[in-house]
Amino acid sequence: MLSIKNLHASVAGKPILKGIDLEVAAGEVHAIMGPNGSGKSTLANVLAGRDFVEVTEGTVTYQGANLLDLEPEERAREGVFLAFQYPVEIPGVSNIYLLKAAVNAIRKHRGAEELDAMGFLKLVREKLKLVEMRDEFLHRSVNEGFSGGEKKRNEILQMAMLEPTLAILDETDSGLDIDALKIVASGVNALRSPERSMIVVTHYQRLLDYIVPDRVHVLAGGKVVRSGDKDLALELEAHGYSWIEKEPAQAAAG
Amino acid sequence: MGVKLNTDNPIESFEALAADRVGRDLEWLESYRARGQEQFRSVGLPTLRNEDWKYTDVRPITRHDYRLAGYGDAAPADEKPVTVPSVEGLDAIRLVVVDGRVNRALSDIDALPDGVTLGALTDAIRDEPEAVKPWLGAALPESGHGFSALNDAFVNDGAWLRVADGVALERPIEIVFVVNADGQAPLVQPRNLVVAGEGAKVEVIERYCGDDAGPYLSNVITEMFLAPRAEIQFTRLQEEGARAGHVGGLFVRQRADSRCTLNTVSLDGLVVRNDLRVFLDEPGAECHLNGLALGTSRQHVDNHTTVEHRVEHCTSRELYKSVLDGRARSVFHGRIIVHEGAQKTDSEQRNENLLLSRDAEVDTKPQLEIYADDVKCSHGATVGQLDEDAVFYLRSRGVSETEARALLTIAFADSAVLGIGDEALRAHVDRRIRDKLNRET
Ligand SMILES: Nc1ncnc2c1ncn2[C@@H]1O[C@H](COP(=O)(O)OP(=O)(O)OP(=O)(O)O)[C@@H](O)[C@H]1O
Ligand SMILES: [Mg+2]
Repeated sequence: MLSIKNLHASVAGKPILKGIDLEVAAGEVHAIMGPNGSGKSTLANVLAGRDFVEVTEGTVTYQGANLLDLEPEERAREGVFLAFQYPVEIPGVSNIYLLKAAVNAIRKHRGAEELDAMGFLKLVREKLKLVEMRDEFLHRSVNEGFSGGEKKRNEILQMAMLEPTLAILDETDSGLDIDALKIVASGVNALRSPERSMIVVTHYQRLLDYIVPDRVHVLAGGKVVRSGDKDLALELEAHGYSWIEKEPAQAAAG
Repeated sequence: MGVKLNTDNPIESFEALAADRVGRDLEWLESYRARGQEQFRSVGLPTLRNEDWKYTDVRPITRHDYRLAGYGDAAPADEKPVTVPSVEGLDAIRLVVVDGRVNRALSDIDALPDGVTLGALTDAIRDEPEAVKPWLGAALPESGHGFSALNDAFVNDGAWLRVADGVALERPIEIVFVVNADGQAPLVQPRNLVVAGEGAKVEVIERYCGDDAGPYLSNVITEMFLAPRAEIQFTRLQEEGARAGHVGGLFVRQRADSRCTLNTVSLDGLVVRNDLRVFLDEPGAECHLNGLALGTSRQHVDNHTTVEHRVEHCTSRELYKSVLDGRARSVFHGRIIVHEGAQKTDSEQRNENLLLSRDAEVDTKPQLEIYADDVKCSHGATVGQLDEDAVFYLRSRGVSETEARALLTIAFADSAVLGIGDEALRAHVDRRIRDKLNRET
């Protein structure tokens, strides 16, 4: 599904990612943890195609093709989805308009017919239920005036609508209360399937109780310094990152 | 016979140019014209040295050899057919003005609702001069600029709309101004009068259209009067030809508890100058001013607005926006004057500008002049670019970059046209914005 090899990237000339290797097979869920500023969001941005992050070395292969060659919208149409750590507010563009534009852009790319108004409404109602959002959110401007938790749920709503092949969730659990966390987790779990892969960036083991990962990676200083199974998250929870940083980095492929 | 406004003084050949004017026998009208001539002689055309024109160079639209249109018989039989562009889905009572003359044949004013008078100003002057007399010039400030003086001097035809006390119209009134440039460089100077009686309610749409074939100049003045409790919803949609100049005056007087919304949408034309002035003359009057200027290539749009709070307890809201691409330029000068004694004035003004290219330019000057002490006034101006985070967000959802930029631009512009009452017209404006942006990008 996704193969990242020796990825180096910098922002404004400053190296942030310093040789990342990561293999995510179809159907797998990988968790990425790591201290603040270690480059987790930067990695997510590289995958989504943010242009201010400059890839200086390495390759990213997605479904056999060079992901880095694609424009952000092409990646989205090919099934890459990033749930942002800080979703932006877009005054004047309604949530429903964006959802419709997005769903239809992706359907068109896949050679499917555009959804008509009824079909679209039916789909969106169903997904709203999944993330327990009220209809009224559809008609509000994208994220404008949404609470922190509502923004995160809105990201999951979009993900549920777009049914991505590779979903990257950047701290979607941060700022959520327990109930919202469960809602987000069930939204994610509803999408889990043998054809889909997910990368879940989080600081908290708690989320991983609900979304059980196949692999856990620790990113520090722009590198994957440790990889393991779900128990690694528990160890991190108990000991913090310092014990890892003191140890030599080990192979991260997995 | 033609005049070059920047070299020939049209006033000197007034008799020759305006021999066919209506009401030559009306002393008050002739002296009104004479005052306009005098004023033009004393101020001439504005130049960059005039404080109110320092960002707007009118030379590109005054240098042509203009043929003064709008006199004599309307629509001679041999004239070639005129196409009047229409707004999809707009159901309105329509008055059509071609080259400055009201054209009855193209209009649809035969079955007007009771209490509504709509027609040619020339006809009104001929048939009921006493009805026109109190209004002509009554909303203009003491001394106008050269263009406004020129309109005064040559005043002749235009729309005459009167809505009697208590009459509320269901359908909007649409006044379409069409110019056939046709290589003849017409100078058209309609004067429109809108008089709304006590508690009258009407939506008025002015559309300015012309062909791209050659230069022409629309030098327009609309005067609007609201009796107590009258409500007017007014939109001026400017879609002139690509080489046209448009100098548009809109002067409004409001009496007690009247309410108006004034939307000024400037889409086309080469050099555009709008002067809008509202006099809030009696307590409880409320006005909402919305403006949108969408400039591309080398377009220049200048909006000068003045709201005068002359008495207590009046409200004004103003939102002007511009979206500029290419080497376009916009000017906003918004004055709010709160006169002595105008306590409890409630006034807000905002000017927001979106620059889509590095070469576009904005000059914005909000100006508050407050001579009362118990007032609530706020103003603010911003100049910015599209939010790149928002562009990326939309693209990351599969929306193309062009579409994402257009979407965000329309979202920005939209709040300035939300005040347009008629839905078909609003949809038309949205479509035009979209087309124009897609054409440019
Ligand atoms: N646009 C930018 N300009 C300058 N520096 C940036 C920019 N984006 C990221 N950085 C820097 O890159 C480094 C990695 O940032 P990144 O956001 O990837 O960290 P993170 O691991 O996601 O942290 P957190 O856990 O706090 O979200 C930080 O030092 C950050 O300051
Ligand atoms: Mg981050």
